[in-house]
Amino acid sequence: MQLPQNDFLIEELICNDSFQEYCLGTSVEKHLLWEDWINNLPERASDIENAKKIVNILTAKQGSRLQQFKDLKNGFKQKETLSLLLDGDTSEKTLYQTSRIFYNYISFAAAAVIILFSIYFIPDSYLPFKKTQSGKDLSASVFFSGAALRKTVILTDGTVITLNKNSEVRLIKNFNPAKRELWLKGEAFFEVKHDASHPFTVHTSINDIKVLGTSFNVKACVESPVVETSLIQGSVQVKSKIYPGYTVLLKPGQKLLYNNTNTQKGPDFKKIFIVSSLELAHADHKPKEIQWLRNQMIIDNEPLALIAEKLQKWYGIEIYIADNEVKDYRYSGTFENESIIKTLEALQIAYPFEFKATQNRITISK
Amino acid sequence: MLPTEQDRKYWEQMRLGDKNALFGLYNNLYFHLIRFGLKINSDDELVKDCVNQVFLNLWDKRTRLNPVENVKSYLMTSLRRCMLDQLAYIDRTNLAVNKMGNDEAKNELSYEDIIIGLQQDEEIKNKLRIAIAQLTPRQFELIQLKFFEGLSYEQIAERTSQTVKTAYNTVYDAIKVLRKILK
Repeated sequence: MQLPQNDFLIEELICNDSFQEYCLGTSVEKHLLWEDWINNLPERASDIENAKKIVNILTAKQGSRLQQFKDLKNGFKQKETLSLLLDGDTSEKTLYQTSRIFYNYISFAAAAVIILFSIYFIPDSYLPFKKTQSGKDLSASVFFSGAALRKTVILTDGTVITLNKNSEVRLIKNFNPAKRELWLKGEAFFEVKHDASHPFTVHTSINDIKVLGTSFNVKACVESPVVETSLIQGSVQVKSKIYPGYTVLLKPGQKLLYNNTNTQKGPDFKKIFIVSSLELAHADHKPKEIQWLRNQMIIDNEPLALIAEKLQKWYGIEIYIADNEVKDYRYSGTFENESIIKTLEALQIAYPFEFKATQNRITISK
Repeated sequence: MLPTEQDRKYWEQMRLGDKNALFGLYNNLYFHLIRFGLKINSDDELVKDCVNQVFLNLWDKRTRLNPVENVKSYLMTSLRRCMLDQLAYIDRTNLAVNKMGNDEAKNELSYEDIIIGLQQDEEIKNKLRIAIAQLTPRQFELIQLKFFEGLSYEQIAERTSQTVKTAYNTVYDAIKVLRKILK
């Protein structure tokens, strides 16, 4: 198999059998061979990216078999972990034995939800425990980001939450993979495990958001008199608390704007719950609603130790590297992911390492 | 060994508890199942997720499985059922579900429907439509064989009774047209 010359035409690359197979992830050997070739041609990086894009369109996003196979294996590990969690009361929960343990909620229906809600409604409807449950339930875990720009928390069901500044989530008492409910104040991005039999619910003062899919972003600004729910992928159901029985099912690329500033006698739902399309930023065609979260990280032959430091700072979660050998693994590339887990998974493809995530710490090892 | 025989062998080993045989089956049939799923519903995430779900379920119930003559069709049926369930779960009134239920496999999506349906960006959708309209039927057919069905140029040449060189050139010219419009 011959790799193209450095002065290849983009069309030639697209038509190259072996390049197509690389894009489809048919073998580890091809993957390494082409990654190496690509890394040595930084000046043609955008051309190669273009070629990949076309191949991706024409192969109908059949995906990378290598990546999917990895997901399958992690799906098995996830099942084992979950059955352990459900069987015994293990206090220290290790949710990511390796990478995508929660494979089927990332891939099946990633959802991004952004909620902005009004301060006027908070006093009476936030803190639902107070009204409905006994005093000891108030001991539910609370995570607050404070002045930190972002804070990442990993829940016992494998859900990854990245909180924006001054944001808070409060878990239901005994939150577990079979009982998944929490209350949000502020803004956060969620990657939720898709589990049809155990819905994941995010409560806000105004709406309850039932996640039918998997990964979603929740943003909530207390000063604003509106609620905004934006969906990137997957499916979420937004239930109004103020108008019981009124629900909106969002489709990917849509957002729901809740605006109850002009309250009249008979509620006009069309004016209070406005569904529209997400705004895409011009630069990268990514929804503006999750710009706060996206971190473009350009890495040029840097060791993992340094990359981990950057990630720790950006996502606000402690990263500990257990093996010195791993610290020296060097990576190059551009990463832009919604969560630290996704970024680590992307890094794993080039040089494999393992990682485990507990509530507020990620441990990387050989 | 023929691929179908190998699949059957993997199946038997898998029933006896060999997880690697399950993985072998996965690697053998992955692209086939993905293509089959995309023809039912052009949502690649849904299809990929269901493919993995099918294999996870297979492992769970391995001890209760019977020998199967045609492993591929067995898995295709499982995939179809999984996709139906997922779609029904997402939206019980989803039209696609009704359509899938009623029409069975008759109304499978064409390659053109699939690749356009997969694009989220309206602009790219339109460009793709324009680009495909500019290709000759032969060019588009070869694009499908090359990229979607994953055939090699040699296999394409054989199937369409032309030389490997002609097959390559046809694909190359088509790519040139596509690139110009999609740029």
